[in-house]
Amino acid sequence: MTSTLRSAASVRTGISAGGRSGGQASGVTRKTAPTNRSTRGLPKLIENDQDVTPKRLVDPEQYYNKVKDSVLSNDASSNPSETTYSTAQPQVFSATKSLMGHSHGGAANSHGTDAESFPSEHDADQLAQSVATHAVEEDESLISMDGETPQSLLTLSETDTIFVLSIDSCIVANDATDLEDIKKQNERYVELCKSRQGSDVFSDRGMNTFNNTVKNKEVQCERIQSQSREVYASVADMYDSERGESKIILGKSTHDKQTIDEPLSRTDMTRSVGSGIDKSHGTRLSEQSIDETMRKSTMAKSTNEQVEDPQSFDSSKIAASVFIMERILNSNTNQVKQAIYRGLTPLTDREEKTIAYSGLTLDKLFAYSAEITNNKNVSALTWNHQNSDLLAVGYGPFEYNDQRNGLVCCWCLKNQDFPERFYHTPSAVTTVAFSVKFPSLLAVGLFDGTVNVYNVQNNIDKALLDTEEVPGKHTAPVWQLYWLGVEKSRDDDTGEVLMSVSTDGRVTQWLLRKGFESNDYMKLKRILSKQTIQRRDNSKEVKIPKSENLLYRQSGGLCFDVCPDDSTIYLCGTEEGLIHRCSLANNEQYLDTYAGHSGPIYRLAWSPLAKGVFLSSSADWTVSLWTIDRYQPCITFTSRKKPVFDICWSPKSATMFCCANEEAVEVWDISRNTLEPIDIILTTHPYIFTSITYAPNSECVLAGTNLGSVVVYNLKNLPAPTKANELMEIIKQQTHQALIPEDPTVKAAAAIKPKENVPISNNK
Amino acid sequence: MSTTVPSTQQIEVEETIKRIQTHKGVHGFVIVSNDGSFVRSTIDNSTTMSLTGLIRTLSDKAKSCVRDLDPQNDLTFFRIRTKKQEILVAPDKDYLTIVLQANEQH
Repeated sequence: MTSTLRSAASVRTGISAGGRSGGQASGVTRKTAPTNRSTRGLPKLIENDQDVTPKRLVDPEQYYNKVKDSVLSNDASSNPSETTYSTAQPQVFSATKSLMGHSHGGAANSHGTDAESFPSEHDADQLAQSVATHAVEEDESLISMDGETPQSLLTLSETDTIFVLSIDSCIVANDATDLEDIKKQNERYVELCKSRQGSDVFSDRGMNTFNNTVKNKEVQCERIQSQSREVYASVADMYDSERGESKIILGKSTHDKQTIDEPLSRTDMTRSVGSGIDKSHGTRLSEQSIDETMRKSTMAKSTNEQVEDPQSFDSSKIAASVFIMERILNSNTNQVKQAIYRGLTPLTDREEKTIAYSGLTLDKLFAYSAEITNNKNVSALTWNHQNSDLLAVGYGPFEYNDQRNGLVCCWCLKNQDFPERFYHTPSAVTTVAFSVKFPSLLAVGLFDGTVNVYNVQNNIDKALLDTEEVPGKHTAPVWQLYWLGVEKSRDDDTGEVLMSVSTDGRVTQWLLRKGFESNDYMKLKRILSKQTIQRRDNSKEVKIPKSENLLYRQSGGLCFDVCPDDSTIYLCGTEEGLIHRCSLANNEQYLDTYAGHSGPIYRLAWSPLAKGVFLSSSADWTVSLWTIDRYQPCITFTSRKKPVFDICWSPKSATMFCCANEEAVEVWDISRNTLEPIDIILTTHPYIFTSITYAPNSECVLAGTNLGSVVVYNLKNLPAPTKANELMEIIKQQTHQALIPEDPTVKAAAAIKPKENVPISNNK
Repeated sequence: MSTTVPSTQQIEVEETIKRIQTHKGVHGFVIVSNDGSFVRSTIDNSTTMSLTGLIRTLSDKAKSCVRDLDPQNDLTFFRIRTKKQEILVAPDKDYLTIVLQANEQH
């Protein structure tokens, strides 16, 4: 329809005209108020003191009046666009405007089917005025601004969409009341359309929108650098970003700066290099490749940065990696030995050229030693209760001469060259013990009588607790420590107490409350057994009353051991060679005394498998096996003419134990041979063995030397472990054998219940 | 110029590094930081450069492999055993530690 065409055209122009409302308004203003026409109508743009107001392409002012006249005088039927097109363009400019105005005003009656006639004269005025009114509001603002500032800001924006003609289809239900009317109307419309072709009422006209002249404007901006970055988000990255720890970095500021500063060619190079690198995996893979190439190219520039780098390198950051690295290196070097320790068949690809051993043998695996432990006498060995690979070793000389600082080291199987933890102590270490209840507490007994407690979770030299200030402190070297589980008497008790024995003759209980609190379990009174007296005074028979002690002095305790079956009973060995069996409850009297050794007792050990059997080792070159009901040793083992420093029962076999005397490590098996050890390791170097222990989780024996190394020996070809009853059998045999040549009084003596303090003598 | 006194942990780590360098069979030790600059190296420059570049790509690949399988997991260590030597790599958050150890001649 022509009308629609017209309105469409006008809509288009309307929009464009609206965009230039400023100019339009000014044009219109001039028309309505020609007197006001002045230079200030146009907004001026002044930049750098120059008038850079863009000049109008066309000056409507000149032509407006002309056009207006021509428009008004135009024939109604003539094609408006043709007329305007033939005349100068400014006519078009305003004529089309007028059309727009018309369509505004005539929008109301644009619905419907009637042909629209060309606007009549009065309509033209109307529309001009409507345009004016439409534009006046905007102009008012302009006027006001013009009055205040020489330069006003022109904001060009799109107006809202103006619907000049909107014919919406209307849907009527089939049962509407005026259905017939509507149908007739529709039919009439269809007829009209059909008859439109050749009808005289309608005439076709063509329309053409004009392409207005274009003004070119050039703008130049800074070169926009671009760099492509690619990131591949893997499953891990998505997980990370969910948790807010996203590591996807798309651009580091330092590197961006570098690229911008660099000349164009270099940027291109990095980009091209970056594209050539495989970007398919890893979040920062492409990043880093780019970084590396960039780093390479800027190596010269950043030399001064690199100088700073070593100083700013904080080595504690790689502590974890380095720790693991050391372990792995160790395992690489020592894998075979470690496998043997664990009891696994070692992984070797060479043929075994070992000598076939027939019996039990001790095979040296490795030694725990480091520079810091050089030339230090190993005085104590103990295992951790939770981690059975962790061994605590105490270093310190046994004698008083040449006292130096002591050392405690914790060694682990995984690193044989350096201890996990090392603590320096002010004086020599004589004993160490790990707590059972709190496996990270290590109690250390020192030569000067103090007891320190360390926490092995860290490597601080300062002890967690010590008995320096405690009044109940020992005044002589502490020779043995033991953590004993007790019932809690108070709520803040830990359920564990520390037992210690010292040369000052006291067996003390230490409670770990806020500090150390001590109680004495027993004061070791020095007594002279009748036996010993008899031995001295052979001539006389001195009757010593039971209750009276000859010399009421304290005797130094060197070792003790708590019975594994009954934790209130413990054995204590003294310097005079007596072994006392005591009870925790009774701190006045001994339950029993066993006399058999003639030298100080270095170590006592209850058998872990057989009840009531214990071993004692002494400086008189012997190791004795006792049962609690006999006051004579059941079996005595001697092999070398050296004091036996340490003994240890085998945890698996009831008849096996090993001992360390100065010259050798000896493994004894009572079931085989009671006169000789079944295997010996002799010291070949100028060192002596000072302590010994079995490994709890391996068939190995660890022996400490006086030069600071703890040597690990593997027991090969172990016989089948023996049971406790076998041990008892052997003991019975032995005792029967021993009994026969002796007086029958001994049997009677053995039958007496062990309640008295006075030991039983041979000749009663 | 570093004016800070090294902390005890730093001293310990330095000692551990020394022990590693003098361990049996070790003939190379490199610490690289994440932006490609190497902090410590006991092998010549060119070898270090190529080594770090290659190892880093491999380490990233291995790490993404581990983490793609289970995002809560992370790579702590890996070894490459070759005919002539063994390369031990410990990737870290900020640094990468590489040790070259000769193979045990059994």
